[in-house]
Amino acid sequence: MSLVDMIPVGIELLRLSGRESVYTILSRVFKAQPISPAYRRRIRPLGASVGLSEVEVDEVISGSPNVTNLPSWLKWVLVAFIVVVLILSAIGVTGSYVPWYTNPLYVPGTDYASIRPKDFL
Amino acid sequence: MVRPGPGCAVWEITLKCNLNCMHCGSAAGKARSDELTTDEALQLCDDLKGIGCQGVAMMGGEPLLRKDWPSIAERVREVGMDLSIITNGYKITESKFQRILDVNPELVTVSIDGGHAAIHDKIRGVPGSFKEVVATLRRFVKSGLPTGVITTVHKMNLGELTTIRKLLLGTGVAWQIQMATPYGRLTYDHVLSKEEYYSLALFIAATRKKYSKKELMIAGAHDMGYFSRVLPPLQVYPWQGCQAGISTLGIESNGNILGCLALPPEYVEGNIRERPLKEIWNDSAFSSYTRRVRRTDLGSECASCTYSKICKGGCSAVSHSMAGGLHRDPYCLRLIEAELKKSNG
Ligand code: SF4
Ligand code: SF4
Repeated sequence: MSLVDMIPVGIELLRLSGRESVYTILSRVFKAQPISPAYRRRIRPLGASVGLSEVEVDEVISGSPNVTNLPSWLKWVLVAFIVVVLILSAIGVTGSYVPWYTNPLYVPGTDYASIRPKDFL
Repeated sequence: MVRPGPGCAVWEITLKCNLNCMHCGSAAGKARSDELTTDEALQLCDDLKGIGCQGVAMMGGEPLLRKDWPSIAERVREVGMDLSIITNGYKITESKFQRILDVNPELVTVSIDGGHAAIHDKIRGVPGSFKEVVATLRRFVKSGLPTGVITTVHKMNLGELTTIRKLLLGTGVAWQIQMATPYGRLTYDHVLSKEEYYSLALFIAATRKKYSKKELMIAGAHDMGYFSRVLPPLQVYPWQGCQAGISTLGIESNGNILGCLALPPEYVEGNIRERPLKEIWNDSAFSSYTRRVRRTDLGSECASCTYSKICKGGCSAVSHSMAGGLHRDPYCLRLIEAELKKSNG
């Protein structure tokens, strides 16, 4: 997993660790799309078709969107920043270079067939 | 190159089934004529461990109809892999129930497709199956086994979700909702439209918001959603792209190996009777459609998507069945939202 790919994972960890407010702010700041009244009117009947009230639909579309990853331009700004900090600190501490983490993306767990109560903890 | 093993192998131990579900992706009913023998199945448990597999989800057909299922389950546990059992919950006799308790799986999951007997029974093709599955569910919950419920949604049961929700509230089960795809017995005319799929996503998101985990643990299947601009996450783990042949592995009851059991027969990439599992799994050509995706493989909308590097065009099974090719899954919330916005003017 590259450093770039670790940024969304870090943000997701914030969400999973219960820091919803930080997660919400980050996702809203970087990705939020204001929900227009017309779009809201378009979505409400879709919710009604599965028994959701307007209030329930409004609540769910006003929360934090499922954007656990940042747009690429912002990733690179952040990466550049992190890399500079890492290089400087590495030079400061060891006088050598910073190795990159290059393992392939790999998601362990048995949730690919069916989720467990344990997965929600 | 030796790859890390799959997190979970999904293993159809038999194709035999005592129900006749309209959405069954493998058109289960009769056992295959060439299903693995007990010895072969036990050897396969060892071989799975040998490639570093961490868990096995035993399914079918109806896995508990295979006479030697307890031996396979025990071997899975003996070699140190997680075990989950996915059953239709029908005709679970007292002795079967006891055997399940004995093998002590990490998870036992039953399928509930309707909140009303009439709908569930119609979908499952056998009158009385609803009553039985609800009774089975209660027994599992009462026994303290970690229990899950899977609801597979298509046009006939989209309207059943709130009733199923009522049934599951406060039971402590993990409820997984997934969309039916047009494989096996399910015909295209029963598959949710994109708007209906969005309704389903709204339902999951709203339910996750409305109820605490103590009241109801609910999530979309791992392949639902993708980077919505509007809705919060539907899953418990973030979407990382199709994991066929990466974190998961599909095994058919005759030893055929695929990246994922949700994929159709043309994705079979070997058989353990002809080639050792280790060789199949570590073959650089295995599941190259997920292990080595190039930008040029992506459909045009996915190619221009900010998240293409992680998502790689959605679920391979949905993409193949609904768009006629891989890496262009049209059941992507992000794409559907863009369409809804356009149609809104
Ligand atoms: S547009 Fe394609 S790549 Fe982007 S999130 Fe949707 S399915 Fe994934
Ligand atoms: S094909 Fe679909 S169900 Fe199978 S691993 Fe890929 S995303 Fe998951």
